[in-house]
Amino acid sequence: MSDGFPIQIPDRLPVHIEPCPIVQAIFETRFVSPQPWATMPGLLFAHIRQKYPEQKTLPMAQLPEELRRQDPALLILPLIQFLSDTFLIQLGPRVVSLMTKPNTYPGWSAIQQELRWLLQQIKAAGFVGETERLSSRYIDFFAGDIFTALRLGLQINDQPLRGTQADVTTFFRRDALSIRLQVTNGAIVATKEGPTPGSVLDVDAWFGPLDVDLFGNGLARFAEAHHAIKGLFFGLIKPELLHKLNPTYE
Amino acid sequence: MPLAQTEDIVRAVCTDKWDGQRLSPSLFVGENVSVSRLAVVPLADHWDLFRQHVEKPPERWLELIAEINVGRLQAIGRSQNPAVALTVEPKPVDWNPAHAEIPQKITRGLAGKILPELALHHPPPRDQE
Amino acid sequence: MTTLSLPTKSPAYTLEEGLREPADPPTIRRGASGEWAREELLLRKLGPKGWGRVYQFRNYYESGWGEKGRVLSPRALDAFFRFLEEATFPADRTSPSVFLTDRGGIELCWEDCNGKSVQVEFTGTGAEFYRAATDEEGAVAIDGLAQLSRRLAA
Repeated sequence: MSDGFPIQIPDRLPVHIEPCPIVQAIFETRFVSPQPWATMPGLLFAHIRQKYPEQKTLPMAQLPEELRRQDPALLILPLIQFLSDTFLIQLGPRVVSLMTKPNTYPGWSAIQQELRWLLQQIKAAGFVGETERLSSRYIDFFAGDIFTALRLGLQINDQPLRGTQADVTTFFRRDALSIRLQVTNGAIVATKEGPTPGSVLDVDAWFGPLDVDLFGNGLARFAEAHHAIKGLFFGLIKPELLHKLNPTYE
Repeated sequence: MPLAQTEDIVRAVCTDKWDGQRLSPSLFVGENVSVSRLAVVPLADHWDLFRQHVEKPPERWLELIAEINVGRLQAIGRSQNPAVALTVEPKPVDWNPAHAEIPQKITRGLAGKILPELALHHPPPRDQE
Repeated sequence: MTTLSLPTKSPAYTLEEGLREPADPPTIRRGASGEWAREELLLRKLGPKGWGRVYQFRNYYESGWGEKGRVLSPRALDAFFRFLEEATFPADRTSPSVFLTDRGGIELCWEDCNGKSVQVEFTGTGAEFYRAATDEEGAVAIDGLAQLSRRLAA
């Protein structure tokens, strides 16, 4: 596998695009905790309840803990959700995340402000031990087949594979950052108009435990991951699609 | 009052410290290593005692009980360079009246010399306990 | 117990039926993104037993296990993998053993080509080691792990 980063990142990145393709953005930390799970929702809620008055138990919480522990993928899922007007906070035994509400991306500035506030509350709640992983994840939706508008595609016999359903997932490393890129032209997204078929670009960028400390450099690392995803997005899309997004530069 | 040289002490060895071939040196590395006295609770009764308090099936099983004589332990400590005067101090706890501790710091090198001297007891069949 | 990893899922979208993954047969286990290389490293250097034990320590030992055990430190685990990438073990000896320490570290033990024991415990700040052949005991920080690995193989 190549060590070089294969996507050319443009020198200048837009500060705004319209229409905004972002369906959802998720800023997640995985951690180990000295506290039992039963105490954690209360510890956090005590600090966030004025801003996030509503809470909802997630379906995974119905699964007995013994069963959840048998699959490592289930161990890192959230079990409870706290809601405000603009954001969602999700909490599990080993994970806490800030999510934008579907199809209402408030902009990076608002997210950074909320993250700063949330990290203070999590620190005060005192249940995060060591940071295991910290990530920013962006999910974008496009009508039609996104593969025609990306510098990424599949080939058969050296010919581009067109007109078929495809789902491509690949993994990159860029210094301390790990990036999972998933592109599919066979997705269904809940939009304001109802379930809509189209394409999704799903990019998850994360730092591992030796490169991040949530209460040390966590905020800066969220920003780095966000910026890397932004660069990757504009590096992947072809000029025709960029033009349709009416980019604004500083 | 430290234990006499004639006493024998044991340590529970669970899945995290035994892989079927080697013992973990961390069983004895550090200060205040916990042990248990056969003079207070016989070996046969230690199986139940340890199972109740340190075992957590299905992931963590009590695999072995490791035994060493206090005098032998102290001789190993004296043979170190520099010598370490090891003692074993009784320290009963709620769940184990035979509990004791080795207060001195045991280095990795010293722990490495203790491990081969341990007598390893495998669990008896359950119907014989 | 070997279990299957779920693919990364998002509530924001679902895949159309043709792209949805069928359940993998029990013989297949897919690693999470970026984890495949580490799992392959574990299998290659420590064998199936070592791979399984690391899996168990990561996923089944919660805080407070045993008498006062601490959950496996993610930093210690990362340090362990950094060491393992550079490590070579004598081919004609039993595969190294891996253990979980009470303070949440991960410990590797093996014998060198002369049958003398080597032990390394990985913690959140680096590693502590002992080499019986030279009666040498010490500690290194995270950035010294690769060098330690080469030194202990010599």
